[in-house]
Amino acid sequence: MSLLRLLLVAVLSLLGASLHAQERPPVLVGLDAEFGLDKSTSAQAIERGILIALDEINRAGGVLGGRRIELVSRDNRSVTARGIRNLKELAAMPEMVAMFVGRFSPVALEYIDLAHDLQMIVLDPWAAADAITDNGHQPNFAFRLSLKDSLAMPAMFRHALAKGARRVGLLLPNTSWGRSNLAAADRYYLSADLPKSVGIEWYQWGDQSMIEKYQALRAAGAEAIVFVANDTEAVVLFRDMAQLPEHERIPIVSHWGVTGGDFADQVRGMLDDVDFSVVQTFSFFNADTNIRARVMAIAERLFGISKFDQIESPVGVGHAYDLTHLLAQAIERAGTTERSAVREALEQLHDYPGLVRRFARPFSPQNHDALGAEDVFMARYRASDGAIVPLSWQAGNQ
Amino acid sequence: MVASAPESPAGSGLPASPRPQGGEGAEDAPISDARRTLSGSLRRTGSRDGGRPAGFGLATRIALAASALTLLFVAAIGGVSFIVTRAQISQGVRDGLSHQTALLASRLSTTLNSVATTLSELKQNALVLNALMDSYTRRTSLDPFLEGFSTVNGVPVEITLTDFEGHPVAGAAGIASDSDRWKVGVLEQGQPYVTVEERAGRATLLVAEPIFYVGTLSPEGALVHRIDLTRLVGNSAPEAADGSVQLLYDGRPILGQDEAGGGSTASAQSLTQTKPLELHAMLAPLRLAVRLRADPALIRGPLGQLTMIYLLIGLAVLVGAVLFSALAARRLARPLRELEQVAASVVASGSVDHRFEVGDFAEVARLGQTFNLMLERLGAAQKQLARLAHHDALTGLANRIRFHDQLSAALADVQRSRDTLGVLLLDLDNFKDVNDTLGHPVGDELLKQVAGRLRDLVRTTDTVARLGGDEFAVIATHLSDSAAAAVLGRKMVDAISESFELAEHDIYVSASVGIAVCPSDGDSSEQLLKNADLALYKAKQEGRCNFQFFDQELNDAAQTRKQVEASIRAAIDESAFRLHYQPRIEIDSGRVAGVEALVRWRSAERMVYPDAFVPVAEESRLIVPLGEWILRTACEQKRAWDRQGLQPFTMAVNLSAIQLGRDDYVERLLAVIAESGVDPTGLEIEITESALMERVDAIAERLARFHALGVRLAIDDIGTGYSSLVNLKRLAVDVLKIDRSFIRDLEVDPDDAAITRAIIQLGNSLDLTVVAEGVEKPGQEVFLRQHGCHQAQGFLYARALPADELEAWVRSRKPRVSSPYIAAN
Repeated sequence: MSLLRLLLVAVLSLLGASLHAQERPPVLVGLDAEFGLDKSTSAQAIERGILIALDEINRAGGVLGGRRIELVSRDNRSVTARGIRNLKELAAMPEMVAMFVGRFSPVALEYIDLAHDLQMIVLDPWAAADAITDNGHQPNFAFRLSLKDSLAMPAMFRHALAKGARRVGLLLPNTSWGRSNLAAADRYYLSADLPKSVGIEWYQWGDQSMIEKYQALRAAGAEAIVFVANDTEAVVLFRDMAQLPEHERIPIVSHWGVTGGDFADQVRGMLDDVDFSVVQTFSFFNADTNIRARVMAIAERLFGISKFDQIESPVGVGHAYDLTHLLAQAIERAGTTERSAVREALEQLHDYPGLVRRFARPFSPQNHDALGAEDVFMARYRASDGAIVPLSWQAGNQ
Repeated sequence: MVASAPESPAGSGLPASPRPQGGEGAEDAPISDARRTLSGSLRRTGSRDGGRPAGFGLATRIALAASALTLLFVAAIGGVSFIVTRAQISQGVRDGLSHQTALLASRLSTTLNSVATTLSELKQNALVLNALMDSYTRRTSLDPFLEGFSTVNGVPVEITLTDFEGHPVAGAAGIASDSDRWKVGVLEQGQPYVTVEERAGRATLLVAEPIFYVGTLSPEGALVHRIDLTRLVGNSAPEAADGSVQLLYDGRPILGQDEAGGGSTASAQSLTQTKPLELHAMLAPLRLAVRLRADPALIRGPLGQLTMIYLLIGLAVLVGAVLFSALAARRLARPLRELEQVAASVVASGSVDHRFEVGDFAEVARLGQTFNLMLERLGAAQKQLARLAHHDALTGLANRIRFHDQLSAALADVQRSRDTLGVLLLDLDNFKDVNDTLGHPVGDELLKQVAGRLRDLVRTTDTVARLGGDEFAVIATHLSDSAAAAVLGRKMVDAISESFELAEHDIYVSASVGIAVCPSDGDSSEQLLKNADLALYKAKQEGRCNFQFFDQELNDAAQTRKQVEASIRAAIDESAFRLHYQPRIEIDSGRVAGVEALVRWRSAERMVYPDAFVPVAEESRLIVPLGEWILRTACEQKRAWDRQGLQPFTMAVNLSAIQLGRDDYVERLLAVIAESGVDPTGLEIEITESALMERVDAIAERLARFHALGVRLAIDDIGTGYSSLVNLKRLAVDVLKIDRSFIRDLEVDPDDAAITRAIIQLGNSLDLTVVAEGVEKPGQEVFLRQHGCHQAQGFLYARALPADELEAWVRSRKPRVSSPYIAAN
């Protein structure tokens, strides 16, 4: 009996010693994004933004008195069912404090309810569907530092109007994202200074041709197309349009899904054939130069990228970078990795000088979107290298 | 009836009866009894061998055999015809089926191919992929869209959209496949999967196809279709509904295996022709085939008619064969049946006079002749058997069995006639002596002569029987009263008393006769015999050579004797016997010379003296265990006294003649002496003079064995019997004991005094010790001493005393000094 107790004490003390000797366990942050999606760059961009921020944070001593933050990435190939599975996996990991989502609103929307069931903080650096943050849950575990459709659609309509289009056609994907945009459009539709919609064409995810739908809208009198699409579909439309006579090509005002892949590469040489503008919220071109330099130093060290205009899908990098810093601050503020506490802390953050902009109060209990209408601008692919350049910047330099 | 046949068949080996013992009627009964016995045994033998009632007759057997042969022949011809015909019909049906099967297979291929085409188109629709990404689209667009594909060729199709892990996300609630095998091929390898599964008793075709995602070019979901193959086949091949069409998957029937057709599958298999379907590439992996089964009625119909014709012809032939063989067999069996009837008559009547009329079948004729000869021999044997069974072989008289039969018959008769019937038992008084002295042949001759004299005495209606040994019995019927029986009894005693001339000797024997009459002494043969036996016993008691009637007193005495016997038995068991010891005094010195052990029986009420029970014990032979107990007790007492150092004296023990009658009894007595450990020279055995009167040689030999041990021998009660002096010499006697009857009146009866004197002198001259018994008076002692008698015992000295009293008595006795003075007086 006493021997057994002695043995037990010995084992316990050994165990304690080894625990003590070990480093304190890292804090985990997850990322579920479309890594495996062919020709997609958004997931990689988000990951880079996170890793750059984590590099800074961990070099500065980590959080909670010296704990590192480490990233756990998962691939959902933009398939919702895979996203659901990944969410479950990540949420089950100990010390997992929050999860970044990728570009695809349908994926994020499919698991937003589940994330609340699991009390998983969802950090959205890209997906634009309003319902991701305006999800009706209280408390709300979703935080976005990105464009949202209700901001994008008015900006796109206004840009169409600026292009001289008084009637536009909507070409939308038959997904929750497409419907999210329609809802955003509907909300501003009555605004007098917006161009009139001549109709909506829905395409299916994976459609091999859009020319019929494009022509249908044009035939209905559209002078510009408000286009909600990702790179894959955008390439389809772009190629279709490039075949058309010049007078049949009307301006395309595109949502930013196209910027999540190598759209520019695929339509290289045709970029000037179509008037194609895309909505954006961040550009390295406009960023604070000090911060940009700091970030680019790390990017060069980590990824061998020396010039900021070589960065693909820059919004993903910028948004994820700032969101990661905000998360680290929230963890410090909460003093724990416990997700509910971190979620509350996120709502209380103040004065963060980020890469995207300076945030006075990025989130509040009422507002889980860090960006606003003032952050939205239009950009264009530069034909020479495919870099996404703000229209204003381009204008300013010319 | 054979009973009327002449008596004494030649060569019977029996002594011929001098004349019949009874009338014709009396002879008739036992012989017919013998017949009954014989016929009874014949019957039993018959039934044991399984005679007529048990088995089939010869005619039946022949008829059956012929019929069976015919049946076999007909069946063989019929069977072969049936097989050949069936083969021909089957071939025809099979050819037809083969053609039909090919047609049906091609029709089914067409249908299935159109299904496959529809399904492949469906999977290429973009909405399906879109729905995989978007639950809203699934709900709002896909489900209505799939509705349009819910039937193909009028057959319902269940369509399910699954995610990359095979979980259903749209369409039919579940694919519910038997296995997840399809997932591997479809979702991991992107290969279409087809199989056939049974579901709710119906064959279903499961087609699962991968949905390739444009963004990844990998299968990110699957479209799974389930089609009711049963209905599909049913629609394109209506003939499948009746179960005659089977769809085979991988060689197994998946369709058309309804219960009704299940029984004929085996036969149907050989009638079918399969042909693989030429299918759409998507369905090519399915190993499908159709099998058409002929309606068994196609074959059964004509085959049934043909079978019926065969059966009718076969039946006709069979009936003819049965009738013909039955007639033939009947004729063949007739003489045998007649022979059997004769045998049955013999059995039934018991008479062996029947004869079989020899017919014209040679074998049966020989059998008949042999049978007749057997009956003749049987008759002769029967007669001899009857005689042997009922007559005494030596004397030719009725034996005990016949005597009982006759007595029963006579008793029945006497109850009707109210006459008196006498049963007289006769026993020769000393037949054993004749046998012993003159030998058995002479004894047998004597018995024959006695039989002859008794036969001469009685009337023809009476029966004389020899019951065994030298015991004879007479049944005297129709007597007027018991006095007539007495006359007959007297005549019998007298007739035997006359001398017999045997082996050139004149032999005199006597006979005792016991008589019991019916109805006064009983009306059953058992009672009459028992009572006659008691009367005979009484006659023996009365000194033999007389006759006695049974009377009630006789019966009572016998009862008393039985009770005493039972009491003795109980007393032996309960150790109620005691030994008392009477001292024997040396007259000259007054010294105790010995004691005589005398048995005493203390029954519950009183002391019983030996005179009352020893005779009964001897008759019942209880004297053997009792005598053994006496000897053992006496020996053990003697040894005990010797050990105690009591003055040495002789222990005398009485032995009965019975105890000396058999060697094994004597062995036991010698063993008792040896076991007791007593010194045999201190023992003396006393036997009565009368015990020596019979078989003196054997007894002398046995007594010599005691003598050889050193045991002394005393003759008791000398003077009362007839022992010869020769015997005294042969027996090596040591002691003579003068009977108390001579001593009692010694002083007053000169005869007794003379006899006593003579015995004393005899003893002295043979150098034997002479002992006087029953000495009660001093005067007697004086007489005895004067005449040289050595020892005396009697109340003058002491009565018989229990062991402890005797011991005290001996110890207290002062030895009396021999007084010359007294002797002089």
